[in-house]
Amino acid sequence: MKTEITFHWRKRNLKESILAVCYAVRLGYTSRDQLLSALPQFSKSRILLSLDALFSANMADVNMGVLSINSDMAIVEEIIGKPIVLPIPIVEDEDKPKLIRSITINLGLNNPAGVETLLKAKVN
Amino acid sequence: MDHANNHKLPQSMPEGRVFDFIDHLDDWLEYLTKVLELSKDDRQSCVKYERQIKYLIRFRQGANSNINHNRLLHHYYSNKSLQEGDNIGFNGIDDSRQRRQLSKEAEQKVKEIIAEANQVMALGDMAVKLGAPIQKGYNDRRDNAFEVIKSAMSAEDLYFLQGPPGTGKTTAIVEMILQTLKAKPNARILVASETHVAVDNALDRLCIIGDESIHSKMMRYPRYAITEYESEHTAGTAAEIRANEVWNQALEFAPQLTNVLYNVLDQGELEDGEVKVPRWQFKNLADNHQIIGVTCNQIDHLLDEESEDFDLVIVDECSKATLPEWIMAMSVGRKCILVGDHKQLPPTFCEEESDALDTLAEAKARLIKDGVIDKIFEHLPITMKGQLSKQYRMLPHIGSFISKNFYNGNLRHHREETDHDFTHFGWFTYDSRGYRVPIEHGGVLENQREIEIITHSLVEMCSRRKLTGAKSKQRKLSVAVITPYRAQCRALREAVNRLDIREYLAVEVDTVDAFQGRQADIVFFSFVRTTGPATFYADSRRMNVAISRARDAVYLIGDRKYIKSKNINVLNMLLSLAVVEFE
Repeated sequence: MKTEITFHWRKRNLKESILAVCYAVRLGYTSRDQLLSALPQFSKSRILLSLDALFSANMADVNMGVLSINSDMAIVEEIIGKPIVLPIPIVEDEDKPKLIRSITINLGLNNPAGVETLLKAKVN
Repeated sequence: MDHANNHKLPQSMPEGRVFDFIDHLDDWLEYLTKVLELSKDDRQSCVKYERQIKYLIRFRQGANSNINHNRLLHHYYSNKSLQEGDNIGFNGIDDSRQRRQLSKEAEQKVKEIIAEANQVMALGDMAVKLGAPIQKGYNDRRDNAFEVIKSAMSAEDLYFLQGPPGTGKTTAIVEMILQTLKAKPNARILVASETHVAVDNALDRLCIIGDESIHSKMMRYPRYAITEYESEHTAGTAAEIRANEVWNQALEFAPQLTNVLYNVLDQGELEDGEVKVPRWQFKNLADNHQIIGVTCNQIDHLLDEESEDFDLVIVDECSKATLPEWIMAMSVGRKCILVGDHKQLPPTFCEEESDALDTLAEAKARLIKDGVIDKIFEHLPITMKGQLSKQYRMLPHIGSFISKNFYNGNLRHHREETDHDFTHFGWFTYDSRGYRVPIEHGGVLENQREIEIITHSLVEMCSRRKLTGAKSKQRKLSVAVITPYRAQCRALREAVNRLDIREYLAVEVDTVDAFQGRQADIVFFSFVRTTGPATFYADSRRMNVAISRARDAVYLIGDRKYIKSKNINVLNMLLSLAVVEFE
């Protein structure tokens, strides 16, 4: 038996709006008004909640009124929902947090704690 | 919950135990769990029942928007309101506690805190004082409708608006929405009902009265069921169209981003070559609109933990909705106005649901089947309930019968005359000696003799219309042929379809239950049975609905001798009407 680890959004209801905000910022819609105009598919409250989640996880930053998204988010988008199979036997429950942290660091994430704020990992 | 006032005997309770609202909720949970078991092969129904269970448990735990709803329902389920006012414990005063005398300074501080809290709470207070009516029709001082609306708007948490047939429930709903928006421009309003048609009618009417600013705030989830609208703006408020609009808007402002998002984000399933709008999209649209129309069972599609609650929830046709259905709507709003008429038909139960009911104790099953709205309505204090008392549908001779027999004579009548000759209210009868319907116990409920009488009358009416039509231009009359039984309904439909009367009469054939909420100039009611029990029309609510669909004329078709032999109150009243003969 091998260990499998899968990451899921903690705030499932906001997953679309978090992704949309990240894509929008990367494409240059970096101010409040630009974001709201570029994303009319989303409600203002969900955009705000998404930004709140990103700031809390230290995945977004504002500098001189310009919003930027941490490059870790690109990795987050890649790993979300896709099971990662590890060539190790099943780990005990108490070792799971350590394993998750080690995986996030080894995936190249600079802010593993932030990732764990946004995502929850399921180890099987 | 407060049990202090349980010394008064609640009405129609199962004997042998104290039965309160929580018990009733538990019975519903037991029943829904049973139905869930019975319908495990039907995934769609299972989802519906699971959702109802979820909302009932949430309500039972007090995890709904306004805890006062729980307190009020619990109290007035078991206790009749007292004239001197009821102590339901809203103010949280507990006299058993020893209070320490406060210093002057502390007293002042407490006063300041209370004043500040009152100020904050006043912002969310949904008790609205009305000035002038918005719709012109309410300027008539003789009509009590606006007074009832005023009273509904001034209630803080809960109001029950009883609207007998033709009293303008939909117009009242529209007035309440407009008045709420006038007083609280940012209020979020939910219009819910058990049926799609009732929601559609309310929003359609709102579109006629409301201007562009109102239209832009409206959304009907997921789409309209009606195909003909009174307002040209209605169709555009469907959620699916709104979804298209926002994507087009996004495409115009940020084409590259929109294309990326369309590919990256979850889209709905493919159905008939079209991509359905995904649930997350509907939730965002619901956040962005202030007036949402949705059926009770679909409310959950639009809301999640991130959604804002509604300030006002209006549940139309609440007497036709089951308890979980109207509780689902009530759970998501701070103020709830239940609009309906418990003197009309209660909810209908499908086969699995009836089977599940059979497994429950009789008293529980009866309460679930009949609903508890009538009891709660009766118990509520005068400040939380009102009845619209002027009916605009029936001519006075029909309206008076309905008023006297079903509404204690409280209805007044607006119309005095009509533009055609058919204004009868009476019987077409026949002697059924030797003609048994059904032929045997449990046999087919189809009565050819009554079908002949109806088709003959329709042809006669048509020829009269043709004659008078030659003299002056006239409109097509609408005719509702109503019967309690499906087999007779099918046979009648076939017979009516063979007639060449379409130019002068628009005839619809349906069961009583299906006709609730609709109207016609002329109603034919076919009793069908000439033998056996008359339990189906012994329910006065069913006869109320059947007769009150008519604007101008009602023709009752049945064997008077058989009906007389049943000695049922409501049928005896009908028997006092004369036999009709076309002159």
